[in-house]
Amino acid sequence: MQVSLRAAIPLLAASSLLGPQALAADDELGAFLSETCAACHQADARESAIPSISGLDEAKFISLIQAYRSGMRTNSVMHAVATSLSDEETAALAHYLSTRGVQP
Amino acid sequence: MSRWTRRRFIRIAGAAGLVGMARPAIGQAKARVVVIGGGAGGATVAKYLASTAALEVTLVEANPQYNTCFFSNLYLAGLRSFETLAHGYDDLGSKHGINVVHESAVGVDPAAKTVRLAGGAALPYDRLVMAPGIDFRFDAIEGYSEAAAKIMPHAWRGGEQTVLLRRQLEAMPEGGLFVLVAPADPFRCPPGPYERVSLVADYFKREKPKAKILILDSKNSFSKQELFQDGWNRHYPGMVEWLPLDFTGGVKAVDPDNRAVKTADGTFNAAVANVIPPQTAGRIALESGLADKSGWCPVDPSTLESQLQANIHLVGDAIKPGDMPKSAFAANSQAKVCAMAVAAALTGSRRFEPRFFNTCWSFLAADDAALIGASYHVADGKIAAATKFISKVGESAEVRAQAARQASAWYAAITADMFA
Repeated sequence: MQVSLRAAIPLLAASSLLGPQALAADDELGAFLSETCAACHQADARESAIPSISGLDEAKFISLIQAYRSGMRTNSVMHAVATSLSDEETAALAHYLSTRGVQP
Repeated sequence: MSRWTRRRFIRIAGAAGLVGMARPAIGQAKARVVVIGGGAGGATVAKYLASTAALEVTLVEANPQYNTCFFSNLYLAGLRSFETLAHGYDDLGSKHGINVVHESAVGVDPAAKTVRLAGGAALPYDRLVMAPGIDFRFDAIEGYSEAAAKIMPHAWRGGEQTVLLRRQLEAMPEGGLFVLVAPADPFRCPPGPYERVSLVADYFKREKPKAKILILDSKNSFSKQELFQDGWNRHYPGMVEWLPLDFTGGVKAVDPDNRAVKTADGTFNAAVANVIPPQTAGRIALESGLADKSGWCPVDPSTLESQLQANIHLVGDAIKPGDMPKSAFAANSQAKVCAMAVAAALTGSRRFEPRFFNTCWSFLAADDAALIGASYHVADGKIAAATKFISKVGESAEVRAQAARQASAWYAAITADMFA
């Protein structure tokens, strides 16, 4: 028991140092990009014509953006959104939306 | 949820003594941003600055609530109540910690960096953001004036003018002529006059089917023209007539006593006349030396900072927006880039590549909407369109009905993004 606790302490310390720093850069970019989403996608969308994207699974979001970009899914507004995002930006936005959602 | 999480994070970080590091210097007061104008652009700037940066934000707005001009055409058609267009400032104060001052800003001293209020007080700022919207060039049409607008409303600013036009439409006799005078470019909401015609026609079709609508235009083409004209033919055959500049020679004068509109070679007597005059940036921007000869304000496209005065930024209808239209969506989009730039300048927070977006939905009928829009980036020294899109003539009724539902969802989302 004592051994496993000691083993856990360096792990926690390492993750609290590296984890937030590694994610912080992505989240600042994701937060800025998500501001554009907030113009149409309400966090608590009561009207379903434009769905909520807060809490959307990261991989699901990335595949949706790719489908809108390629035209596999047809939606002229989302096609223009998707073509404005690089792969790196899409990943940052996917992570931010899945963990924080839209609106500051 | 995200808001609560962030606040909680700040409290924890504060307890650990980290918050002081984010400020310009320990013990020094927060940098001050004053925002003039609580419309689509100003409310958004104030909210995003207060939510995302360690800044003291003051919003100066004379009116206790904002009545959106966007979506007011639905109210004119009797499809939406006036109350649903009204948005208060309580959340901006209580939830976001913005100091909301309900007074008129009457002047700016760029050297002293202060804003003068009607009551005499001077508000100091480190950065000023102006979102003054539009003012009307009443001198551009002979006989038109603020007083004449009480008889021949423009209804191009949300509020009492909108209500006045609705009452006139309701009181209009069966078989009456509704004349809409549309301005030359650039002006607020390029598809707006034609959406208004569509929705007034929708109301007439239900309530006054013998009425006619005449558009006297100061230009020879207009936004989404093919889509609107197709919509008028399908929904209101024979009701709407559009006369371009080259046909009439343009509107020269109005006679409020007779509700008459005079063009270069004719006079049209209206039962209801909606005169939308040419526009300029809001008066305080003109008086503060922020507009050029065009009457609009040139800005740096990456920061929305004035090209004529340092430390003053502008967003919304008042600016020269490159390829963007003058719309509430555009103002909201510019506001986010502006807030990012102001926060970076005052707190050292990160800058990102500016990006903008706009969609203008227009109702051709209650369940038929068409849209136009684009993504934008900074290129060639301006806000430049990247990917554009527009609805097509001949789309199915279901596609158009879905667009109408999305327009309503957008209204709920963007007004929450601005005011909640």
